[in-house]
Amino acid sequence: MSRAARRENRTSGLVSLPVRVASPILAALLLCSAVAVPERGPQKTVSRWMKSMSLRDKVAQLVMIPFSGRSISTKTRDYRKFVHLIRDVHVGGLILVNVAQGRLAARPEPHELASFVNRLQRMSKLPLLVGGDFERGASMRVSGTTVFPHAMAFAAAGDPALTRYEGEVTAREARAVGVHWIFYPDADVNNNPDNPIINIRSFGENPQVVSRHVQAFIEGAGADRRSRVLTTAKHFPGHGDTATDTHLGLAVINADRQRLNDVELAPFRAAISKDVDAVMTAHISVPALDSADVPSTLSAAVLTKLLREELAFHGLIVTDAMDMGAIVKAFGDAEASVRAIEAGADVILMPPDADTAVNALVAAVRRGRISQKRLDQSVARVLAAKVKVGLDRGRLVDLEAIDDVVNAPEANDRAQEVADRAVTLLRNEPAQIPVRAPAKTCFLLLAESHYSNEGLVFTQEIHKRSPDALVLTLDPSLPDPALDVATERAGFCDATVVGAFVPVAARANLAVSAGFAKLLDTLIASGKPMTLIAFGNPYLLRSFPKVAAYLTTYSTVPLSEVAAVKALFGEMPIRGHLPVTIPDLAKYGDGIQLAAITPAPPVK
Amino acid sequence: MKTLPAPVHPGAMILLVDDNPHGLIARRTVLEELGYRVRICESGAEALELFGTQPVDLLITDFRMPNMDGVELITRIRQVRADLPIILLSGFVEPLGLTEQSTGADVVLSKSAGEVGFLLRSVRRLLNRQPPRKPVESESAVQAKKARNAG
Repeated sequence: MSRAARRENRTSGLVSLPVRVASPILAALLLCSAVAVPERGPQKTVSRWMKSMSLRDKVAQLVMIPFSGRSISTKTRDYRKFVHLIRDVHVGGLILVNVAQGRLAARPEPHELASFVNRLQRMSKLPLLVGGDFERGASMRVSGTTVFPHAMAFAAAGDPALTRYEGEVTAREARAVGVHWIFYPDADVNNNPDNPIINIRSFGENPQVVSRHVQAFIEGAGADRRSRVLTTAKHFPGHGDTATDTHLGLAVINADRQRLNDVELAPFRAAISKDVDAVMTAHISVPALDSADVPSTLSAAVLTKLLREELAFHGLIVTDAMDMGAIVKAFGDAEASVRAIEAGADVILMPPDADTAVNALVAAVRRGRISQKRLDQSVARVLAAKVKVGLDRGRLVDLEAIDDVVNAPEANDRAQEVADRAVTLLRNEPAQIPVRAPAKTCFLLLAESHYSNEGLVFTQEIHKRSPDALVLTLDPSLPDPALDVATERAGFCDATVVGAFVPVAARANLAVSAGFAKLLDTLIASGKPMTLIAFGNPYLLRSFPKVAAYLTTYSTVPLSEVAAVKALFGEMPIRGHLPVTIPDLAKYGDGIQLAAITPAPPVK
Repeated sequence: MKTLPAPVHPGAMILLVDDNPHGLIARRTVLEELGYRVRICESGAEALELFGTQPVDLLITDFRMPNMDGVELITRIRQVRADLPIILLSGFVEPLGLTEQSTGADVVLSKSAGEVGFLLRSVRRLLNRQPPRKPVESESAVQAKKARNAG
């Protein structure tokens, strides 16, 4: 264990003190002091920090700027911008986002990320709070970390203990690479099949089930004091019943207050009861709570009256990204930041231009539009959060300890277990699963784009079991004649299995391309046995209601490709239950249960 | 504030050679974070030129580079510094059958998941290697030392 890690362990040893003390009286005294010290310490540190801050410093602490985690040359304009915003402006934190490398998202390697974070931390007067949304573990934003399936897969697997475990691993890996704030769990109840942006990111449509998983994740993430992270319930007051992507425009929830109480707000109440550290706002309007043209992010009725006063939430309120279309188009950078703080937010996440946001907020305080008291409340919350994760005691990551933490084999095994248990069979007539004659079956994979790696693992797994099986990976960029050839080749097989990758991504609809739809319709109409596997959006069945066999994995990660092949070959029981309703086609909780019939092939 | 553990060889000079600027910057950032001094070159020719003017404790080079590949660079450097610790990186270690024996590197690493962790451990291990033994002293030198001690 490195020196830095040993030092960290020493700082977290308070709770074990009374155990070693023989005298019950002394033990009681020590126990009291162990409880009391964390109460006094943070306040003292926060007060000390605040005393040294100018108005501009305070405002800047409320702003979090994006960074990709990838190293950049110190000679670039981007690097100089970091130096300016951190060293001169004193922004409060960073949010890890992915940048595009060609057509793919470039995720930083853990050591590279940690090194860059350390460099930025050294640049900063106060320690920086570093956040990332880490929705399927750290792997969402960092390569080489444990890959978990999407939230809906956890709900289909039906075991909150697995979600708790995801929380533990995500917290550990986050801290190992220098991230202290996880913008997860997703507390949205996905009760709208047309929701283009939440979908499999949600734990489903049942508020109680969503609540249990949300609580489990929060518990898991807080289980180990040595890897303390901040958790975030999002997107308040609930983004599940929308049909608009807020990256593009303002979405509206037309539910009345009673429905909101019973459905949308339930998981947030559950999160607050588990002391969730933060709540992230949604850029959606809720006419039952405020005017129809006011997004919740900028609504005092939603953030202050409902969240702070009615739900008694005392933690951090963080906006969703302020560069999203729903906010930027209607309000502009400067005004949106001021309105968000006025409404009750504490942290402005990713304003399009941090300087503009800081200047606007400073001006708003000077003009009295935002009171000094209101500003100080938010600053104190941000600083207290920094103390909570131990940033007053140390801000640097030990690079040589990273490999001991990330991508642990047991974590990968448990993540595979989630993907396996999630697989849900909604139709199987005639009994096409397990696949009877793999060598005479055609496997077609419909990738989301020409540039993705989707289907690679599925292909390898099929060939391990049936080396001569025909596996074709198609992508939407292929011209119609090429798709016609694939359709024709599939016609020569006794049966066809089609895996369609439909991930949730901003600015994308949750359907297959027109060319793929034609291919699927042709295969279904041919009358030959066909199995459709939905990798991602489970509602895909609505587009192909006549398909005879339908399997869904709720995730596009490689683990789900492995799980689907195991299910197809009868190597594991199929035991998932649908955590949403597919209108007119499948009920909530559906799932044909099949026993395993054959062992998995030996691992080479 | 928590500080990082001191590097095993603070200030050791590492020469990084790669025609991919991002790879160079990424590895430099990590190595510098651990306390090493790092110089970067985007070609073998540039590396040879710098090697003649700067003291270098360890070389990390990519394999596939235009004009002069990593193995040729290693061969030319071995002619002047046979004992220099060298790490060769490549995305094609298995397809090309790159090994320590076939390339002259002390360590051959694949550019794949976990590469950076392996790289850091290899750097530490190679710099940890026992320094060469002192040369056997000549008879006259032993006599001179005895005389000094006696005096």
